[in-house]
Formats: sequence, structure tokens, C-alpha cells
Amino acid sequence: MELIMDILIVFFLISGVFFYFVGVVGLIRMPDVYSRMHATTKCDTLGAGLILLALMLAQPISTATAKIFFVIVFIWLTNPTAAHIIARASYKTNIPFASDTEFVDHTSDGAKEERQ
Amino acid sequence: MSKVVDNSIIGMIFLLIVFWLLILEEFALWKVLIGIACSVLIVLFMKDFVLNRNLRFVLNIKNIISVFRYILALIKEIVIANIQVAQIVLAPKMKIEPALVKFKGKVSKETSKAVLGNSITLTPGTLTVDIDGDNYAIHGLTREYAENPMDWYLVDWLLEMEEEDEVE
Repeated sequence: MELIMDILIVFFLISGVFFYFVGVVGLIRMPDVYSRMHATTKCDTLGAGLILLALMLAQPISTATAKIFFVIVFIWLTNPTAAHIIARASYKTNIPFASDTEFVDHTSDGAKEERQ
Repeated sequence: MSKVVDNSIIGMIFLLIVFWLLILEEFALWKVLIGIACSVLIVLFMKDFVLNRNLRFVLNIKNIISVFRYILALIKEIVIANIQVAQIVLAPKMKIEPALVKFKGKVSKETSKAVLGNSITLTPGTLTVDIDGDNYAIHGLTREYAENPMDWYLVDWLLEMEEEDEVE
């Protein structure tokens, strides 16, 4: 039982670190701000989530377990909000998109392209 | 009407106090009292934003079950999203054709808009860039990803939760 638990904890830790690694690689390789936000936000949620989950499992159940659980909840609540704010700020201040970006508009009848 | 608001204020205060007791290391009387005072002040200060009936969902058993169902589905989507992004990022030649899609959303309440915007950001290959009234601007790593949220099963679930309002 101990062994299974240890394997599970190490597995969660390694996957968490792996997703952080993916986030950093994505940050370097992606072409523009918006695509970079994809890599960083997605991989932060699961990376931090899995590492904290491993911490929850690594010790006997106490109030600290509940606290770590709340940390996960708040990270998952705030992370997309922060990503949205960064993306929105870049959009409003006309940070250019990558050159091969497609613009599709379903809001009105003609496919209007607001910006290039 | 006023009775419902009163109940939700008391419930919110109770939740905050429980949360404070949970993160409290030692139960000294003055710490507990400070927690209670802060809970009451926070709720009185925030009640127009958080506990407004026009903004939030109705609190009944069906909605609470729906929320849990929504959260479970969302966690599943988050895991899929992470694996997909990992595949795209680690591929030797990145296959991305970014697209910015604008569409009109179906949900009406501010709360559902916030939940939907955050869910879109958390799910496969999409990022909410702007929400202006009912118009959403979604950035996707490929065009299919960005057009997915237009008719998404989570949107229908949110609509179901809004409909509870009219039934009552």
C-alpha cells in the first residue's frame, strides 16, 4: 500500500513538472502573444494542480490537506481570468497577431474583417 | 423576494466563517471574533455584486447537482486540453494555424458569461480574448478549435441552469 502510494505521488510530481516544461517550451516556440497564452495557461493549471495533488497525498489527512485543496481551487479560478485579462489587454492595444492568423466573424451577416 | 436575499446573505456569512475556521491554526477567541467581523463586513460590502438575483443562479438542489456535473466535465476537458497542447508544443514541426473567431453567445446572465469565458480559456486550444455584450472573440490554435465553443454541450448545461430561474 505504501509503495503504491509512493509511486502515485512520484507519478503526479513528474507529470506536473512535465506540464510546466511543456508550458515553458510553448512560451519559447509559439509565434505571438495569443498563442503563447495557450501554452502557459493550460500547462500551469494541470502542472500546479498535479504537484499540489501530490503534496496532498504525501502527508496524512489534516487541515493542511484542505488548505492545499483550496489553493488548487483558487489557482483554477484565477488562472483563466488572468489569461483573459492579458489577452484582452493585448487585443485592445492592437498587439499584432501572427501573420498566418485567420479572422472569422459570425456575429453579423457579411464576414467583416475588423483588423488585419 | 426579500426573504431569499436574507437567506443567501446568512449563508454566505456562514460559508466565510467556516472557511476562516478551516485555515485558522489555533482557536484563540480574538482570532475567531476577527474572522466573524470580517465575514459580516465582506458580505455587507459585496452583497450588491455577489448576491444579486439578476446575476447569480438560483440555489436549489437541481442546480447544485448541475454545478457538480459541470465541474466534473470541465476537469475532463482540462486534462484533454493539456494533453493536446503538450502534443502540439512538443511536435518537431508545430502544426498551428491560429484563428480569431467572433460569435454571438447564447447565455444571458453575467455569471454564466464569466463561467463560460473561463471555461473556454481552460478547454482545448481556445482562449477568450474579448467579451463585449453578447459577442465573444475566441482565439484558437486551429480554426476547428476556435469554432467549437459555438455549439458546445457545456453551453446547453449553463442554459439549463438559467432556465431554473423562470420555473420558480
